[in-house]
Amino acid sequence: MAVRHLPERFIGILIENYAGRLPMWLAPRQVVVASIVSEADGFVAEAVAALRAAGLRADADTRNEKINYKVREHSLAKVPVILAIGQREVAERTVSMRRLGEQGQEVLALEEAVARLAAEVLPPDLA
Amino acid sequence: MADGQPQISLTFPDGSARHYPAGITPAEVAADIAPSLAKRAISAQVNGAHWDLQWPIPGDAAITLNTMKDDAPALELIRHDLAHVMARAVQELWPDVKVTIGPVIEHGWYYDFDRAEPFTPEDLGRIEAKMREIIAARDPVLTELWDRERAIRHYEQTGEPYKVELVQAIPEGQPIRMYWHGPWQDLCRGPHLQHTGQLPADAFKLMAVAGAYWRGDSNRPMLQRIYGVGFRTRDDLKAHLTMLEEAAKRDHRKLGREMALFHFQEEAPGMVFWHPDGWTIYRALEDYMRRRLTAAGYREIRTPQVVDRKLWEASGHWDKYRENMFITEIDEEHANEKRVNALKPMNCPCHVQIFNQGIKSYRDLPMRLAEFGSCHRYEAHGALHGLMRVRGFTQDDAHIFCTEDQIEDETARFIDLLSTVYRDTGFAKFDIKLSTRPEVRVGSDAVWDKAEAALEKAILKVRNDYEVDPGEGAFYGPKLDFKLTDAIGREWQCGTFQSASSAS
Ligand SMILES: [Zn+2]
Ligand SMILES: [Zn+2]
Repeated sequence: MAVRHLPERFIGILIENYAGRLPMWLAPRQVVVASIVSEADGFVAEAVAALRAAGLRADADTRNEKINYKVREHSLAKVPVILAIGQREVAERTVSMRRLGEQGQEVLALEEAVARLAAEVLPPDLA
Repeated sequence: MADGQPQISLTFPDGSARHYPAGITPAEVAADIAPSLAKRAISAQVNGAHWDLQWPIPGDAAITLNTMKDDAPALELIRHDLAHVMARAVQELWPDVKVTIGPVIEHGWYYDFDRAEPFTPEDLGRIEAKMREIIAARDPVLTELWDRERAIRHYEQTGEPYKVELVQAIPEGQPIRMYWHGPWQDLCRGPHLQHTGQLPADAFKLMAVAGAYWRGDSNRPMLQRIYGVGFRTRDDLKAHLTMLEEAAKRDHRKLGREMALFHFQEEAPGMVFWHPDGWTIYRALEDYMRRRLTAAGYREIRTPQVVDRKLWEASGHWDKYRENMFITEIDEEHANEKRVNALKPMNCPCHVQIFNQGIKSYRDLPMRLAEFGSCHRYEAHGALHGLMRVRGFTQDDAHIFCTEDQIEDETARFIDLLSTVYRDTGFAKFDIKLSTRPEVRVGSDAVWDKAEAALEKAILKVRNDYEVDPGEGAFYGPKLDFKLTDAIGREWQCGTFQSASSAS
């Protein structure tokens, strides 16, 4: 007996089914950590390193752009989670978490954000 | 009804039978049953064939009267009558346009016209308005059978050369069916509605114009094809248009570009250039599949992509599938003859090689082998569609070598595995279709009985509904197809499970 499945075609179907907003475990970039001010760059790098160490596909965005511009750009690219870091976040070692397609944001400690997201990105067979 | 004519017996869906003179029409039958039914009837099924209310019934038959509530016949008639009404509208607006053919297709219809000037979007609006006038006129639909010569003479007089050619292509001696929608006449097999007023004036839309060669032949004139969609109600039309809009927004080729996932280029049509983000998705999915397969008892293997034609001759591909195979030639050791190889279009024959090497006893069965094998198939340029239809692709392909008694259990395990995969990837709804023995096949009926029963029982272990597609199985065994329904209601053919009692 033979069983056939076509991954390329299946990915095409997944992209259309989710309109590009793939579930966390399939999203190519799961988290972008974006600086609000340049003083935050160091903490951004630390957050990205912590996320990657926890198994997440995370990138930093420390370009000298307004945070709204960064959020819009990563939303268009369908990045599911954006963590914004400004002066206050640096001082309190927190992140402001925004989710794709949702209004508002949630402020939480970096360690907690990492732990929560690490659980969320587990593929369904490992969750 | 004792008027001396031979009597026929018509059997209704409830099992009751009535007697009528031979040649009675379904319209007369409906009127005899109830005036309200005569009003609501739109067509009939006579011994399973879709039957115009005006066509006489020659002999004993099973009959069902259709109304607008019967999806399939209602939509077929609406779309077919709209095709005629559109052609009439076009000729009323531009009398010098020549008409050709206009079949029903999914969601609607098209009609091909020969006209020097291109149809513009404004023209489509004018045609739609004219169609609404024709519908409002409630013109009767009439039909007659003509002989060939009369039909040819008629089309020569009206200056319709394409219709002359169509009539000439109909085998000699066969009567020619003609239809009229009001004064406008067309050559058509039918069936049709009874008058243009039965058409929903607010549930159709002309969608697009495209070029199409007469009879699909690039040496013949280029025609203009107008596409329309038609439904029973305005809401159905709206839902369809919304779905199309939504589908365009979700088009994976567009999103693939915007999200920088992959691209295609002319030097390798139908072969994917995966960019880092796209390949990340691919890998995440492959890693997941690999874990699921391992957990389900599959062993992963890897087999060659370039294989000598001898193996493809033995597998039958060289004979039946060569036009779709990429062939490579190589001067092996400067031999006089070049060695001819083909890129594998599927993994199966290679997997059989491993099985042939490996099995020591029946206790080794079932043996489940899986490969993420790189395969190539030539597909016509026009058939390629982003990632959905490609020339270079991976076949996440598994072969289960097992004894006959193990088929049912192995099938159930596979359905369970695939159900898990679909659920995990977010498809709550999917359908299973069982394709049964085709007319041309190998193996005795007893073997097929057993193979089909095993698949049916396996499905029933996992769920209680499935479709049957009679006669659509492969010549060597029945198969299961899995169809996903996506977030906007579209269905996608996905995995396949092929049973083969002889080889594997
Ligand atoms: Zn027709
Ligand atoms: Zn195979």
